[in-house]
Amino acid sequence: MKQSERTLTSSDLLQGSDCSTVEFNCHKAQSIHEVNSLLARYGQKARILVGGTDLLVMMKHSETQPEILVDISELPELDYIQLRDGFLEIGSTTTLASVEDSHLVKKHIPILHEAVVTIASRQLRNMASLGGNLCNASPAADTTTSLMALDAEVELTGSQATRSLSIEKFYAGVNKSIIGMDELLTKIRVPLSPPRTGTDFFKLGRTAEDIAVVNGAVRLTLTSDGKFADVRIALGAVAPVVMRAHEAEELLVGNVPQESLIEKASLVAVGETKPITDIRASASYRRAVTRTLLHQSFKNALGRVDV
Amino acid sequence: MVKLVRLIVNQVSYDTPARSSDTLAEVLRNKLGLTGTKISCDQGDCGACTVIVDNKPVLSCLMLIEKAEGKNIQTVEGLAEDGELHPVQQAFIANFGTQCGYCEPGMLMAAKALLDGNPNPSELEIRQALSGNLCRCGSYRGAVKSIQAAVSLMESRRPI
Repeated sequence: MKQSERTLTSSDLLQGSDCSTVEFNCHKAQSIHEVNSLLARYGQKARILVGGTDLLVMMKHSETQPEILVDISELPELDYIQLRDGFLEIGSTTTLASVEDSHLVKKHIPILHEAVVTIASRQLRNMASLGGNLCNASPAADTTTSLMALDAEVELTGSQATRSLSIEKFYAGVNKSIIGMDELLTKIRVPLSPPRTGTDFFKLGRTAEDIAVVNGAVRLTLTSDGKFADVRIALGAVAPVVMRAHEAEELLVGNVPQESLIEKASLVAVGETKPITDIRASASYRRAVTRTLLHQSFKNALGRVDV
Repeated sequence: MVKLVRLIVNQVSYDTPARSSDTLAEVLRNKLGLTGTKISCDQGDCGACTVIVDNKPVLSCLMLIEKAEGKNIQTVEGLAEDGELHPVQQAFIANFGTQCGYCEPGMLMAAKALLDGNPNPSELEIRQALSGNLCRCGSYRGAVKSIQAAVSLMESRRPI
């Protein structure tokens, strides 16, 4: 939990503190085009609103003071989960609860389900959107970690153009994405896994609602003779952005899964991380626990490879 | 900017002045006098402010008032019917579901939302559904027991 910057009085505690010292308007957008125009016009003074579960907290802590909230929660063209051309597509305003309940997600990209159920609470997930969670750009975001291992893409729609990029390229730093001033995250696109693929997601938290101390996801594809053909390892809360452990991945590709190799890969992956010491854990604890959990995660994913 | 908002709470329609920056929790408590819903952390972590909006449990301290307009809102005050407590309320009383009671309205609404969608949850499902409701008195075991008792109570009352 973050500490409020000003002193709370007892009346605040009983009544709830004012969420903003700056007057703002709430505007229900009628189209994506209108969203682009408003973002271009108001710049930093505009914020996108779906569930508001990150935004309201930031406003209450005076970390952001928007003048206009562009409510996109009622744009039907952004709320969907569908299979299309070998991809699972999720609209950006789709709530985390909808993602959690989706049979398509459970069937085709189960680690996204596994990640989403660990986020905060059901109450929060009923409000929060997948797009909002990704745009908040936390280096510990469970959605980002699982989607990165799944090789997901995000679609960004601006006034002039729409572009897609891998989720790995979407982040620039702590709570910083590369989204343009007038752009809206409109879609998340996840390729369906090839045959002989197994996946796993892990998260360490102190209690059920917690932000991850560490999290991670793996996606392994084996050749017909049982060697690693493709390996993706995503790790969160151990660097300024959710990261891929490329060196560890390269170590595994082309080789037979073996305990000693998996252990070596786990160590190499930890070597690629840059964890910090913060309120949730020390850097050394994060390194130690990532090694253990990643090792187990490889084994879980191998056990789930569909033949 | 103050404007008039229309809220439907426990099937009653209210027209009340509110600022854009007011949250549903604040308006329920300070404007409508429905103080059953509690504000505790005021940042979406503790669940004390849980209400049900369009059949889904949500955090009213993070819901701006304009987002609540036109939606079907249920608070703890709306659980009892014709003066009779809802089975979850009866079960919490009979099974020491809480101690000081401050987390209770949030727990009750989260429990009701769970049972409305899943009338026979496992213990794990109960714990998962309530994982967003913190209790500083540590009455989690009592809350789980109460909900299990409510399940039986509601089952015994269901018409065959």
